[in-house]
Amino acid sequence: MKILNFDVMMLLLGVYLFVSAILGKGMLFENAHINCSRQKYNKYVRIAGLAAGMITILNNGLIVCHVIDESTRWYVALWGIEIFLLLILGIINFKYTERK
Amino acid sequence: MEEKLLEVRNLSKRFPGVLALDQIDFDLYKGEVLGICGENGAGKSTLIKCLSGVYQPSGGTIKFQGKEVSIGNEEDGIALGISVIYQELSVIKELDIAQNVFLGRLPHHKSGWIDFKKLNYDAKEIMDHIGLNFNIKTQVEDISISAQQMVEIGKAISRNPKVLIMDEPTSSLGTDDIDRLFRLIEKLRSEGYGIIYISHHMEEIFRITNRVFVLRDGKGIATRRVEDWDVSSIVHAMVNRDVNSQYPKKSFDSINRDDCPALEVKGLTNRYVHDISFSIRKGEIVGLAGIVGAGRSEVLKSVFGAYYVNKGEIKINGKNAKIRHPKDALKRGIGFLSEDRKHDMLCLMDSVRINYVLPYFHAFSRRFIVSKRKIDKATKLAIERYEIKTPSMEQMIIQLSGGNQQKVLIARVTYGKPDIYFLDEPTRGIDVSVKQEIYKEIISMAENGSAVVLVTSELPEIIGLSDRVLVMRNHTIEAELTGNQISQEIIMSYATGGSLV
Amino acid sequence: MKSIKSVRIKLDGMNTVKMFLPALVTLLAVSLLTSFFSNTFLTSANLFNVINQATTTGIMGVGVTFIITSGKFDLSSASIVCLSALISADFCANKGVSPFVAILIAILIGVAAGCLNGFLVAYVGLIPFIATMGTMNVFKGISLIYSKSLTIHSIPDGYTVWGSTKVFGLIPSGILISLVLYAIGFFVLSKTVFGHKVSAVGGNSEAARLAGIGVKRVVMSVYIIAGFCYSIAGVVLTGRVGAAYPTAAEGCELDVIAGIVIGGTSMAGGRGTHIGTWIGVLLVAIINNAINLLGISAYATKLVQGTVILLAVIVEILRSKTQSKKL
Repeated sequence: MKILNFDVMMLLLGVYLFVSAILGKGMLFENAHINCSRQKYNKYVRIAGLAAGMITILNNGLIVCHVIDESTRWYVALWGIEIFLLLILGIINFKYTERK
Repeated sequence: MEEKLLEVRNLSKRFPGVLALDQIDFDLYKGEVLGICGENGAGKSTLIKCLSGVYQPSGGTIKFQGKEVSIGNEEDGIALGISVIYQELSVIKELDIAQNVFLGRLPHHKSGWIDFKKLNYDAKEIMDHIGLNFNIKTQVEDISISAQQMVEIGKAISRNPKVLIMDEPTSSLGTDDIDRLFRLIEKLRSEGYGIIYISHHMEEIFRITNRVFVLRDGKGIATRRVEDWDVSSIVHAMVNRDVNSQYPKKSFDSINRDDCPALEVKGLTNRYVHDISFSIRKGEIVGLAGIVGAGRSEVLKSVFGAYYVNKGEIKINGKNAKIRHPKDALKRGIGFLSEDRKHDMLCLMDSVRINYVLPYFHAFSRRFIVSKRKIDKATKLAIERYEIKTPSMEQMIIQLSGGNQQKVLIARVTYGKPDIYFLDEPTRGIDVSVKQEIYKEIISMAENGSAVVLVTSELPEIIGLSDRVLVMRNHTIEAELTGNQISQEIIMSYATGGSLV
Repeated sequence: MKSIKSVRIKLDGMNTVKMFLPALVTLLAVSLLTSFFSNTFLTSANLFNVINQATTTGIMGVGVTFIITSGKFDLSSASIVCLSALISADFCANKGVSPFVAILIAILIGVAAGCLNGFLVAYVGLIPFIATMGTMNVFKGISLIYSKSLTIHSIPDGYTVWGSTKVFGLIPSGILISLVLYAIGFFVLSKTVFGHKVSAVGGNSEAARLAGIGVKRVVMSVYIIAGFCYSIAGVVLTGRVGAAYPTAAEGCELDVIAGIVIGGTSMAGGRGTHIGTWIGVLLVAIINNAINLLGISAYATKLVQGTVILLAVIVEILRSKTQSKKL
């Protein structure tokens, strides 16, 4: 049933990121092989998760509530920041994961 | 007469279908160490849980300092002054030592913020008291298992209990740590604590306890002063049959000196070990000794292909072997049993059957279809042969006792008929009679022509079973001992870099 | 006595049945309830409608079951369905490619997308959540840019036939295809060496590794299989609807995962049941259908769905272990 469109989906993911980062639990933290200390990794993931989560919620929230339209500059800017922060989250994950 | 801390009378605990504790009587006095011995399944952990509040007794009374008490939950137990240190560590890996010691009771300022200064100060005091030298802010995940156990002990002591219950506290400790622990126990004893010490290790029981209480099948068998017991009478009380507490010996000299060595390792180096070289012949049992953290498990894992190796040569049966992944090692005939069953060996939620054949799916299949019939047949044979106590093959392996889990793993590693066995702490957390069975298995591995590398923290095991001993210290091999050189003192001195050398 | 014994051995152990039994019971219960309250529920037209709507998520479910059994996760499922459908339909309708080749293209895209996912998770070592969230956005973006937000119409029959015919005039082709895929999936997961390896990786990936299983390879394969399934789902969906549009299958990711979890496959990995997924997906479709038929307002529906998802999220976060408290 397609009640959820893409933006609602991203909104939910943003909420998950945010809540997970606050609580310190969740799939983000379940990384078995990390390079540095657990504390450091958790800290970074937490910060990145919070930031990315917040922006994602903001961006997609505004879209869902039809405050922002696809054509405006606001949309592109917010979307850019969102992708950037998500990328940072990804890079942190990448950098501190041990690859044998 | 010293004050009685605990008086337990007629304590019973019933579960659906089984009477785990059957009218247990015992006392614990101030300033004494009461040892409790019993096989796995005798009721020791049930008893602990009744005392700590996790279980409620089905019958009988518990009197604490003369007053009858009902311990409804763990907090009640702790509030009373009963602290338990379990065999399974419950440290939180993501937190540091100080936070673990004061878990749930972190001191804070009036404003609500955590008072890290006080936390770290208090924690350091406690850990110094115990004798653990790590920086209090070290992440628990980064320290060894034995050190984690010390943190666990620190946590229990920080609550100023009157009764301290220790369940197999030395199972992950090296000799140094055990000495440290015992000094601490002595100290606590003289300070008036009542300590219940549960262990399989007879040397420890005789070293540290005042009286010993033996359980068997949920019943209290006898309590005597430790001077009135000896090893064979305790074991007899535990299993009600005379167990030869000596180590089984090979019936013939199984070492194959004619063929080339089963395994040769030269200059193995990686993140965890440095310049490891040794060789081992078919039919030989080589013990790998060293204190916890010396790198023994890492050596096994590195040769087995579990760790990436930068430098070094491995030759199996004289031929060069490139081992990049456990798959390669298995193919070349190396079988591995890790010390951390839960994390490295078992799929806990899966059945005994699956855990038995985990490395061998392809062996039980025709083309690519797995034959359940073949697996069932083989599993049934294994259960019979190794006397694995399980209601059925489908039983989730997590529900088996530690000893039986280990039997499944030994069955697994033996199934592949490897030429080389790597056994890491094969008898950890296992009771006396099963240990004997495992020792016999190890001997027969050698008698059947395989080479065995045995890592264990129990020196008597190494001395009793090995043909040769390699002592590791600081991630390299310090010494190689043969014949008369294999003794507790010599091994320990090399392992610690002490002055005897 | 002997025949009963042999039957028992042939059934894959009562463990599997235990996994999807609750879902089955719920399915029957919900169906029963709905048929009480609504006259139209049990009509063949309605039932076919329900099953049809379940085909897309259903076919996706075959692949996702593998992924979840291996302990991983895939958020990009719907995006891959959409992307492969879009590009292949475009090639077929507008660029004059034959339906056969177009479908091959769809499959290629699905497999390639799966490769990307698998590579990121298995070899780069990214957490599935982050990897597939990233690829989800990427694929979505590509879909939007490629289609310029336009729907693709007038797709040749050779392509749409796979989603819109009725075999023997009665059974929608989509259902048939999904059943075939489920049968294959069930067989592979529970009977083949590969399937056992997948369960092992999900049960304890380190134990699997030390037992000689090539974990990275297994994970990669699992994502590729799913990618294949997604592309098939895309083709069938396009055939059923008659057009390919950039917002196709949106929201289906969660429906699939909901169906799988309801069906008894554990999110922790290690045990997976395709039968359960099939039941779960059907259940989700029936619930949606029931909500429709019973005239519950769209607002209330959103509320209910939102709550369900919130609960699932909370459960997942709580399930995650930060404590190793073992007694």
